[in-house]
Amino acid sequence: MTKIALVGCGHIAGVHLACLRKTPGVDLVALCDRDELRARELAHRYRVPHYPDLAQMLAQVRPDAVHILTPPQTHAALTLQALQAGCHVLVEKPLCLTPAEADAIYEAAHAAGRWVSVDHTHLWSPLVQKARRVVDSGRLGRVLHIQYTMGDDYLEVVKGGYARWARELRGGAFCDLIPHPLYLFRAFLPDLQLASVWAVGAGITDLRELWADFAAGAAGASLWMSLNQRPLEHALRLYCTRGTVHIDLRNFCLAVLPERGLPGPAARLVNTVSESWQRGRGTLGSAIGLLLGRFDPWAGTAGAIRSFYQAIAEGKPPPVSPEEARAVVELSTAIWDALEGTPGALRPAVDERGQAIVRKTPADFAVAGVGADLAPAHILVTGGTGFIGSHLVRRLVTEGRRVRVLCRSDSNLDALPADGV
Amino acid sequence: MPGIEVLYHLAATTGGDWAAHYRGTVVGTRNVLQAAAEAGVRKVVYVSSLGVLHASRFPNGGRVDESFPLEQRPEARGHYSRAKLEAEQVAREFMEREKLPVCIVRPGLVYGPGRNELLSDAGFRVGNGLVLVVGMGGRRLGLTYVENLVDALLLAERNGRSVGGLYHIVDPAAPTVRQYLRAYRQAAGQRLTAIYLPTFLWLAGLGLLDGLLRLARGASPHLSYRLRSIARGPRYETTAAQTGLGWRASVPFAEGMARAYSPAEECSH
Repeated sequence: MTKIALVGCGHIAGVHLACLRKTPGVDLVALCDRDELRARELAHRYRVPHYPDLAQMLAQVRPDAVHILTPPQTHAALTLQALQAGCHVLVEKPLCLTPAEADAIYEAAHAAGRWVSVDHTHLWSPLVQKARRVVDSGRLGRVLHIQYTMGDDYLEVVKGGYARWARELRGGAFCDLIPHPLYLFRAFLPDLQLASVWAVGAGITDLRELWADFAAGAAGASLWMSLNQRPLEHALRLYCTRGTVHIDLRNFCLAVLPERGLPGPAARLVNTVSESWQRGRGTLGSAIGLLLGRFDPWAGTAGAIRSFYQAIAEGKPPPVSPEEARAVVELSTAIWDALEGTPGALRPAVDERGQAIVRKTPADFAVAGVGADLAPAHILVTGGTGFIGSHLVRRLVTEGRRVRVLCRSDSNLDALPADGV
Repeated sequence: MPGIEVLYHLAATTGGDWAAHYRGTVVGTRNVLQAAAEAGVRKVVYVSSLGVLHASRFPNGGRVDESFPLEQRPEARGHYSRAKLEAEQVAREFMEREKLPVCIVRPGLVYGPGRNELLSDAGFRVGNGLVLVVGMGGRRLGLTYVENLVDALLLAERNGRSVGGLYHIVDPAAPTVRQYLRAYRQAAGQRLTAIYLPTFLWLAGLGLLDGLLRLARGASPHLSYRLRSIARGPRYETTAAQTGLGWRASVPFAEGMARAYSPAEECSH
C-alpha cells in the first residue's frame, strides 16, 4: 500500500480525499496544513493525524507520496521539499508560477528518482476522452479551431475565504483556472503558441475577463474566461474539417456532429435533432448515473490520481509528462507577461459613463488607508454593505450622523450612500 | 476604533465552509467586541438571528418569546446558524464578564428593497414561474420589514435601559405562506404557480437525500432537520421590544411588500 499525505486542507482537499477512497492500493496516512482549524476538521472526519508543519510531517510519517493542494505560489517550494524527503508528488494545477520553477521541480524529481505529476483534471473526464478518441480516429478530419468558454463564480466563492491567495497572483482568479484551457488545447493542438491576449480588470492580480488567441500552424484556438457571465458555463468546441464536437464540461454533455453528406436542409435538420438528442441523453444519463451512484462529478481528478499511482506501480512515466507540464506553465506565463508588457492590453472595467461595469470592490473607489486619515465618525457599522446594514447606514446618514463602515476588501459597495460614510 | 461611541455589529459570513464561518462570524465578533471594549464604546447593538432558537421544537401556532431555548443541535442547522449561535454566546460573554454595554436584537425573516427573492422559508423556486411550497400553506411566517428592523436598532441604541437586553423583532402581521405568496405575486407582478407539498413528503424526501449523501460523502447535510426547523409556524411575541424599546412596526405587511418589489426603490445588491 502506498502511503499518502495531503498538504493543504482547503476546498480541493475534499475532492482528493473522496477520490483516494476509491483508488486501489493507496492509504491516507496524514494531513498537513498551517491552518489548524481546517486541518482538524478534515483529520477528524478521515481519522488521520494532522500536522501544522510539513517538515515535521515528512520526518515523522515518511509518506511514499504527497499531494500538494496549497495556493499556487507555494507549489514549487513545497514540491521541492517533498521530493527531497523522497516522496513522489502530485501537484494540483497550476504546477507552479514560472518555467524556471518547473525546471527546478523536474530536475529535483530526476535527481531523487521520483515522479511528479499535475492534476490536469479534464484530461480524465469521460467526455474529453471520448472527444479525443473521435478526433484521433480521423473520422472528423483535422482540427481547425478550438473554442473554450468559461464563466465562473470564483469571486463569490472567495467569500468563503477559500481563494484570498488569488489576489496576490498574476492573473488573479484566472491564474488558478487558466491551466484547464491550456492543457485541453494542447491535447488536440500540441504546438500551440500565444498570438494575442487582452483582459479587463482592476490590475494584473484582479482580472475579471480574459481573451486569448493561439496559433498552431494552420489551426488556432481561442479562449474567453469571465467572472461576470451567467449562467455559469464551461465548454469546449472543436471545429474540424468534417465535423464538430461540443463538450459541455459543466453540464456533462457531449455532442458530436459529423458532416453528413446529406443535402443542406436535411443535414441541418438531422444535426439539430442529433445535437438535442445527444445533449438530452447526456444530461439524463448524468442525472440517472448520479442517482445510481455511478456518475462521478470528480472523474477527472480521480483519473489523474489513479493513473499517477498506476504509473508509479508499473514503473511507467507520469501521466502528465514534464514537457507537457512545463509547456502549460510557459503558456500561462506568456499570457501574464503579454498583459503586463503590452500597453492597452489590460483594460479598466468601466463603461462609457465611467461606471464600473463589473462588480465593484473598494479598489474601484478612493478608499482611505488604514490609520490616521480616516474621517472622524462616532458610529461604526460592521456588515454595513449587506442588506440590513445598507438600510441602517442610509438611515443613520439621513439623520446626519457620521458613520464608518467596516467591510471585507471584496465587498460590493453599490448599496452604500455616496456621502456621509 | 478611536472616537467611536456606538457599534452596530451586523457582519457575518454568508458562504463557505465551517472554517470560514467560524473565523468570520465567531472570531470576528470576538475581535470586534474586544476592540469595542478597549475603546470604551458606550453602546453595542448586536444583530443576531431567530435561527439560533431550537426551532424544531417550536409550538405550531403557539407563542415564542425571548425565553425560548437555544438550538440544541447547532451543527445540524447549517454553518450560518451555527456560527450565529456561537457568536451570540460570545456577545453574552462580553456582556457578563467585561460588562460591555451590549443589546442583542434577533430579527425574523428580513425582507425589503434590495432583497427581493422569494423567501426560501416559504418554498423553493423552480424555473421561472413555479414554486414548490413547504407544507399546505397555512404556516405563519415571522417576517420583519427591513425599515422596521432599522427602527428597532436605532431605538436599541438610544434607549439606556436596553443594555443587557434581548429583543425579538418580528412584524405583527404574521402572514401565512399562502398570504405571503399572494402578496408576493401582486407586489412583484409575477405569475407564480404554487405547488403545495405536505411537510411529511418533504421530510421523507430530504431524509432520503441525507442518507444518500451520508453514504456518498461521509457526512449528512442534515437537510431534513433543517426543514423541520422551518416547518413550524409559531407566533412571535414582541412584548419585550414594545415595552422595553417602545418599538412599533411602522410599515405594515402590504406596504412592506409593495416597497420591497417596487422598481423605484430597488437598489443593486
